[in-house]
Amino acid sequence: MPKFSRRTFLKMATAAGAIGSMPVYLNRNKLLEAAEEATIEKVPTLCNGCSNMCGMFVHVKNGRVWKAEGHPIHLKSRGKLCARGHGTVADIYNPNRVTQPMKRVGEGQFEPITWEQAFQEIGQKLMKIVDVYGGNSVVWMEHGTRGKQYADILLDYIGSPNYITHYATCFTSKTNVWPKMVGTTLYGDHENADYMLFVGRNFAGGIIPNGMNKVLKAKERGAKLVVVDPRHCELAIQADEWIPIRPGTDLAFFLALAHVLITEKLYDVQFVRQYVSGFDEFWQANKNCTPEWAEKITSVPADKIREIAREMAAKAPRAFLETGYHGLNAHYQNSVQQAQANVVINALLGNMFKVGGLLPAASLELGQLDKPVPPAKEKGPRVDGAGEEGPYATVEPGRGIPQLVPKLVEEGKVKAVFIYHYNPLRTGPDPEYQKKMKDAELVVSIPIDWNETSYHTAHYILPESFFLERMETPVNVNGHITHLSPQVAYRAKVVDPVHNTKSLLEIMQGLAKEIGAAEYFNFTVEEEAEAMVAPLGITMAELRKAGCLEFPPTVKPGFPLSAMGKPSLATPSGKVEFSVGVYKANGFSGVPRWVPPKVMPEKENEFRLIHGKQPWHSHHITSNNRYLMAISETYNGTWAWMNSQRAKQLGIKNGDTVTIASELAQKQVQVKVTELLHPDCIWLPSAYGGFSPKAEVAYGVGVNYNDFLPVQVEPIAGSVMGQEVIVTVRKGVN
Amino acid sequence: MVSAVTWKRISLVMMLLGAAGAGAILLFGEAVLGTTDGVPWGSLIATYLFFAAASVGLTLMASLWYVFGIEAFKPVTKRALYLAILSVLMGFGAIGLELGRPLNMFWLIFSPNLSSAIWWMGTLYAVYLGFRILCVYCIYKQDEGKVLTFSRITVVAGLLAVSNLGSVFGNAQARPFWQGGAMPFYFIIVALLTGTAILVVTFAMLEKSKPAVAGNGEALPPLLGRLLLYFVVAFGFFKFWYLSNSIYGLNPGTFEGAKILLSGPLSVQFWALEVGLTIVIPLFLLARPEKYTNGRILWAALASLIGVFFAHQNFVLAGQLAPLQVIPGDMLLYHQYQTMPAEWAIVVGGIGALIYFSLWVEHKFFRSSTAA
Amino acid sequence: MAKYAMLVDAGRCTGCGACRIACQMQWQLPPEIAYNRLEHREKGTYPKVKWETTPVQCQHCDNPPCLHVCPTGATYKRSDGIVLIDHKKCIGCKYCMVACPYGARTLDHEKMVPEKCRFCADYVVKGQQPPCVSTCMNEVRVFGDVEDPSSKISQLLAGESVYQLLPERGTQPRIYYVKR
Repeated sequence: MPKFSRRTFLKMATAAGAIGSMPVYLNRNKLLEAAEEATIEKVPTLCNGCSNMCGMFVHVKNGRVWKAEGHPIHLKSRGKLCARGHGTVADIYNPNRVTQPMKRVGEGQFEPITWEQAFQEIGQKLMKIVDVYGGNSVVWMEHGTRGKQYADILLDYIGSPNYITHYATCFTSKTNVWPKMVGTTLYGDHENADYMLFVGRNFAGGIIPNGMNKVLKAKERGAKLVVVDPRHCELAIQADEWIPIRPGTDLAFFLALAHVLITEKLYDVQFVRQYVSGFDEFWQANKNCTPEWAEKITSVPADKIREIAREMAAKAPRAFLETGYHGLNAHYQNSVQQAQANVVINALLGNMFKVGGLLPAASLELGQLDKPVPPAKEKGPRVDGAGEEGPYATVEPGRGIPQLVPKLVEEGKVKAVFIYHYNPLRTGPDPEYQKKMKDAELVVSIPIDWNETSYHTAHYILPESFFLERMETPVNVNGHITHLSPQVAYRAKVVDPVHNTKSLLEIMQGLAKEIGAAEYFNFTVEEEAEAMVAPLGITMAELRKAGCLEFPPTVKPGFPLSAMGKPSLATPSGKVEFSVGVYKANGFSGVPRWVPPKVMPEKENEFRLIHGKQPWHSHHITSNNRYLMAISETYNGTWAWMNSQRAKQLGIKNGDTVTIASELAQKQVQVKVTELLHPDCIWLPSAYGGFSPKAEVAYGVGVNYNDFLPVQVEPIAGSVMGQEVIVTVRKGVN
Repeated sequence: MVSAVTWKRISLVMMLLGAAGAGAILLFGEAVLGTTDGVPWGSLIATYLFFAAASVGLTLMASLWYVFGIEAFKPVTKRALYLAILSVLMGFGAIGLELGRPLNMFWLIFSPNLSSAIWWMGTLYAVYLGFRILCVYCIYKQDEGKVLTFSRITVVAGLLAVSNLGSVFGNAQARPFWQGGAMPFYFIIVALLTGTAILVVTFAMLEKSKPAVAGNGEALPPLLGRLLLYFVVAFGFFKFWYLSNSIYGLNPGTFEGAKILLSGPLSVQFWALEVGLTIVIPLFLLARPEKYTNGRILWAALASLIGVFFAHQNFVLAGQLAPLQVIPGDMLLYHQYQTMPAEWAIVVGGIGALIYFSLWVEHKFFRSSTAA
Repeated sequence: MAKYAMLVDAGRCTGCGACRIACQMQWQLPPEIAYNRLEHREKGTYPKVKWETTPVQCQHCDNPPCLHVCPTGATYKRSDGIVLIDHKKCIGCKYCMVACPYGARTLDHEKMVPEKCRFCADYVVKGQQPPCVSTCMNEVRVFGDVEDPSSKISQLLAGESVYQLLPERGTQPRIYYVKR
């Protein structure tokens, strides 16, 4: 691990200042101005509008949060912020926040209690459950992974292996595949690419401001951008070409691309020979996946597939298939094979570890506070079966299978559920099924606002302080976009809590005291932070001032080789493995091969229900924000999209109200009749359908794809298969 | 026939309703109005147009005797005068409620913008009202010379005011449907139509109870009926040519406005209320003068009065319901506008007040005196 | 004397709405009042179709219809080109809303003043950028002084082929759009 002296840091700070990217208030001219407006304080911190944690400066005027602007250095924001960032900041004064601990006294009835009472009662109940049913019956669920550092201590103390994230609803296929095939995760070097193929990935919807900026910079240079998506997503506005594809068939498209690359000898033969294992097995399995074969499945013309493969090969290695995010990786029965095929395409292009191709994340190893750990306790098998012997052996235990928790509660296997910064009732499939969670003996939710999970299932609600009201430990700034130099940033406390709320660490400390684990939480977040940055040769005082600091490059393009010159990826062979041994060992195919979607629309009024992120919402978590919902209001954001030809056949006009129905639910929504969507599907933005009466802005607005989606578990990565659902649509309200 | 006392009671209830509406608007502002950013002018503006045009129409009718000396109209001229004053006051009431910050109106004097049609509208109507009141005062004082002078001035001011009202719309940059030089003339036609119809209705309502004032009034209804017929024909002519030119001229904005009326969101209100009540029914009833009865003329006048109110509403809304085409491209969804209860209350209250004060004036000043 | 103008490259816009809310925060506006908006258009038919988004706000016209119709002169134009509203003179007649061909005005229900984009008048004179410009990840807008030949906007205007919205209305807007 590279170490940095104090002098290195100071030198860098000066350099950064020279290009005008130092914190605004350290700039000379700005300093004068800051003096003029002495009441305005600009505090650097990290955004919480989505999980990208962009660097931002929050302006505080007379103790009240005024506005935010992007941090000029921070890799993700680079001086820019999206709508969510601005909107989230305003949420500190949202009247629908939970303002103090609450205890359920009935259906939708809560009684305010003191923190002491909450900790006492929860602690007693928790320890009773652990005594009677064992640690295994306790589950910690969260969005992931900001609470893990504290959840782990608690789980270790009580002897539970059950840490579960939301990833099964989001991108488990990708995270399952990449470590097994590549040993790491690689990201597109958008800025330096000459050809970018985005399939099921909307950079302008799930936004990293600097990511879009990089794409446009590449375009200015003459790079080509092709977007393949059933919906003409916002990114496609910037594309040279939008190619609509039948939803659920992206795998066939990828296999045909590979077919062209291989049959026409367009792939990087040398790269494959040196750095790939399992090529022959892949080819043997997919020899018949011609573009003509794929055309029938995907509705993408065979010639178009050939054209894309040829153009990409011509631009390789400065060409890549975007490695994806939520878009395809928790959506279909073939999501895992799709993610595998993504690796295959990029490897065939020979773009891995190359500028303009795919690069690893730059990061630094942070230190750790020396603190006592709970004594080792025997833990049973994970209650959701993730990574255990059985049907879910290949599912990553670090992610878990959240959609099984209500069932496990019903079966009596889960007795206590902690839910931190997570709302499975709205973001997981089948809300009525999810409500079963409330039947556990103890359900504790740690939210900011009155989300559905808290309102309908929690026995206790312990409100966390808003992200502007709490400090968190430093993080590496990376992921999804590339940068050769690592950055470290942290979430600073900007203002004091408005309400009687606590940070997660304070909550854990309060609880720990009641269950005899106080000594394992006997530290402050400041101490943790100081210990973490210590190896970097900086202090928290310095980081506090700058908000985000950049260090000399750690990423060097070039395939990782051992001292002996052998490929040294963290895979069994050290190479990119087209065939995953673990999958094979568990009875699955090692290489990706065609798997059709689980369900297909057939009748005239049947559609596949697909969803996506609207550029101003982070799925449902922003749905109670008055500013962001006002944007939805202005642009008819809650409407479902339908292809104009299908609409015509069903007699549906723009703005008509229709009834969407699946086996689970029947709901009404207005329709946007559009040319911008593949005829096979209905598209719903993922933000709406709030059903917590105390989240008043979101309540009753629009519908959500999860209303219609049955509970399913994809066998390899454990995803919810969020788009394996067929709905019928008819005009009118009944 | 309903007695004066009953009318007073009914009109009092109507005024109470109006007061409640006004109170709601003063308390809650735009929240109780149907107006939006897309449709900033709504039914209160239509109400104002109705009363403001009616006032000038009544003044013009009164001038037939005071300025032009046509004896036949003499019996209703005094009534026309006070109704003109009452009507314009109702109009001011409606627009006063429509204004977001009416207390800032003094800036009209201290910071006038001479290029603004609304500034001229305010000024001309104020001048008009001033001379109108002065005129009535002189009649009261029986200063015949001044009556003639002020009557002449009032007619000119009224004509300028009501045609300027047309110009407020006629020069609205962004609304092609309203634009053009025809609007001032249209407003004069509407003014005459409304004024005549009001005189017919009030004559029927009030004359029976006060035979003393009748004079040679027996001959008047057919005369008013004939005038009403001419104005209805003029109104119909204008609408026909204006809308057919708008539709076939295919000018952006103008076309959409006409389409909104003919087959769009306002089509029912246009065909049934505007065309049906203002044109078709009066034409049917008035087309053959030999068949005139007081009842026929009264019904024609009532129908056209109600129709004219909706004509104003249609006119105001049709210019706004089509979204502005700032960026070329497909036609978007129409803006929505719904007249809210508070706005209806102002309409009802305005009419109620007109009735109530008419009865009061008639009772107080006309019962004992003879015609001037 | 500075003359402010804006150059909008609508072709770069992906409709995220950051400009709207950054502006709302800057001026502490309620959620439903926005000084800028996006116009969405679909061009063509599936699958050969384009989705265009164009940001629209007050054009700060050199010949502003809203100014001509304002009865009390509450709407005025500064010598640096910025069109502003003097709240204390506004009577709330909404004639400006009716007269603006760009639909740029929005009624502030609390103050009862038809409000609009202010070109961040108080801030740009201090050399700051309007937040709708600075927050945009796609760098759709460029704001600056066209009298200063070294400003970015002057240089871009010299090089780019531009158009204005509704030029036939004779409003002479100070916002230019990049032709594509």
